[in-house]
Amino acid sequence: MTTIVHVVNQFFAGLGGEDKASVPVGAIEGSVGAARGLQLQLGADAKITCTIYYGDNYFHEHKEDAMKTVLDTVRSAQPDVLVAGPAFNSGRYGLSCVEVGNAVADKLGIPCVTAMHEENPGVGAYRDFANARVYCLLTAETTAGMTDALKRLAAFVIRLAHNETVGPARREGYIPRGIRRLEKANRPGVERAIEMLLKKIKNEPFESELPMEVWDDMRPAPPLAQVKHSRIALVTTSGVVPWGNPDRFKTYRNNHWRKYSIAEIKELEPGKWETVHGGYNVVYMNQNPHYGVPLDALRALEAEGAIGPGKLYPAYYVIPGNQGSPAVMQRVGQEIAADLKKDGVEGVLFVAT
Amino acid sequence: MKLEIAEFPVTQIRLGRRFSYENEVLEVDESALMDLVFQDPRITDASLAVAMPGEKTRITGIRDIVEPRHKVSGSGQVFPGILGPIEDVGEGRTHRLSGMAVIAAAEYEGTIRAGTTVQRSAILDMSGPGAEISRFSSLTHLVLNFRIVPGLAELEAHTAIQSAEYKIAHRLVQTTAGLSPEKISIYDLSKQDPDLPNVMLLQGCITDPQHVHSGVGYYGLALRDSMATYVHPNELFDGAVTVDTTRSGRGYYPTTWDWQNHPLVLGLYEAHGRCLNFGGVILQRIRFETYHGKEVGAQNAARLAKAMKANGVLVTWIGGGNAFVDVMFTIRACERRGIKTTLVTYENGGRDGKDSPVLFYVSEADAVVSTGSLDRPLDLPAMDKVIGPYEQIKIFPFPGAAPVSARGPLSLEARDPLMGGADIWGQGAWRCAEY
Repeated sequence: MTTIVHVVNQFFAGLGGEDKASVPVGAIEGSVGAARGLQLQLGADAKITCTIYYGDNYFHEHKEDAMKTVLDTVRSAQPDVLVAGPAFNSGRYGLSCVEVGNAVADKLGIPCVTAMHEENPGVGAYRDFANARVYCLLTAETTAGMTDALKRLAAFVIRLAHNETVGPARREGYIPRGIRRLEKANRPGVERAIEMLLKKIKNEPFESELPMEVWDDMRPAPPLAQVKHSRIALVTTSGVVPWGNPDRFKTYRNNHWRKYSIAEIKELEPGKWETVHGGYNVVYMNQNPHYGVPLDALRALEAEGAIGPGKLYPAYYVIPGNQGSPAVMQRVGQEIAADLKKDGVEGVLFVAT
Repeated sequence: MKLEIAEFPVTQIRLGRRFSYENEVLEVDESALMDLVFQDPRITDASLAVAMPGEKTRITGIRDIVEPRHKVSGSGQVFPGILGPIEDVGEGRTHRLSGMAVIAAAEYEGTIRAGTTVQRSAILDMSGPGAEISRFSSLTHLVLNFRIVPGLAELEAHTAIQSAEYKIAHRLVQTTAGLSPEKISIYDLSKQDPDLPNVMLLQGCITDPQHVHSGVGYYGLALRDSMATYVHPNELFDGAVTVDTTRSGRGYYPTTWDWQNHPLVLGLYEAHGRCLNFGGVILQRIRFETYHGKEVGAQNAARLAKAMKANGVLVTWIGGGNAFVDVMFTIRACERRGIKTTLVTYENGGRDGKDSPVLFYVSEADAVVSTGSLDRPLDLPAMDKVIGPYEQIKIFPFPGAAPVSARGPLSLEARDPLMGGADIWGQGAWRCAEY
């Protein structure tokens, strides 16, 4: 017999609305509230052994405690599948469903399924987690879609419980998590491409195989009031490193950054530095590493007083940027920024290539 | 322009003492071929080996792969500007040995330590998971395993490698002189159906204009800062476009074989007169160094497609990194001129496919066909036999990379080191789907 733990908020546990949003985590044996509806859809194939509930505010205001209690309860219940929601358009609830699902999948290895409306903020978190063991089904905006949501949840739960292979999102009806997997189509790419183009020319509907992404809009920090009183550091994606590549950077798709000392160095001598980068012709950079790490210009600015004495950070930061994956580069950027902040750097000269 | 391609399938290659072709068996005169190779004093050491599909064989040091072709009628010769004079090709009759290829597997260290122009070579497995991925593993190969004099600069090394493989391939196919082919395919675009849409192939080509060989040869001449150029697809069949052999040994670059057998060209030919009019190929230089260059290049290609009365274009490319910005700008430039586009591209996306599949987007790129991912790790089993110059290989071409035993097993972080590691032009059925 397949066993299920169902996670719901205070409202769907039948405890009350906003006035009960601070109810702590609790658990009831068997199914209550929305879980009873799910049990009806599951029929005799699966049994909800435990319903976990919490107040929407409680969960987010005491997240660590709430999560610990949820995890402990799920751990002792040992279900085959965890269900959270459906949350419809309820933001706090949707977010908690996704966070609980992600934690249970990661820490306990139990597959999870939740459901909510596409505009629920939980969907964004779900895509960010991109947890291969967590699935989110689409629902209507309001509880008017309850029966339909529970029906589909029940069917999905049974499949997960039976370890059935779950195919691509579009085919299976869950919200895509941004995990792209290799597969073989039934026809070569050439045939698919010609068919897609002809449909497009004829204004017939077609389905792209690669959805476009929308990227973060980065706002630059406000300019420094006085550069000469600010601590300045140099960051570069040029791939200029000490000769011999001591930290084994690759020429593409790197995962780590380093900083190398320029304290008491007046200029970068050719032959002592080399460029590890697969994205441009490095001959000129090797002949003159200042193209990537313009220490000569910075020393001149120091001499002029444009950069205050001792204000130039004594090391530069580097990662070869070539083919850097956006997610890795975002992490690297955050790590470098944290390191700069820690050392009181106020301004950065960024040399991109 | 009408080209007949006469096909002589090869399923077995025998190293022997004469040239003959019979019942799909090609016998080659080993010593005559060695004499041909050693005419070039830059080649110091050479040998031949045969690799068959399904064998537990790994080939190392691969620089290029070429299909043997020879023109028996019509002007020019295959590989104009390289093997033959600079004359029109794409008309008359060309013999091909199908199902086989010549692999140039050469030892070469290069004089450039890193960057876009560093020499590269790749491996090919004839069985196992690598063979499931690579379009080259199902061919029967004659491997030319050779060394060139040390210290040659990249362009010299390229011409030595290229002329050796092309001369061998050319000699092999001449064995079919006077024989009747198993099949003749006719490639002719002169009939156009006014009721069908006009579709072109827009082929973006990454080029490195600062390098002595930019990466793409057009009648033997390296394409540099050129604007988009029209080529008749038959010209490709006769070898008008070629590669830089010191840099095409990687999983997401085309070989000469790919240009001779361009799957999108063949697909559009197949559809010609049935559901579209194939309007030919536009070769577009991509990876301009500046935003200005990228916009001018993109809009120029779109203007050419418009002048050629294209209703739609299949857009595809060679390269990686910022060259993709040029591709996306080109799609936008076409769509804004009313030319519908569909992009055919491989993806990146990282080890587990959670990262962005491509590096740049425009909203006009709403029709994309995925041909799979270059980034997914790949474990290759140990092989019984290694052919090629390297017993030890560097899986990553960066300074200080530790070499590993070529025999394997090999754990590839991504598919770059495997010939045909990415199905760049959609010949096969690989794709990525979103989970």
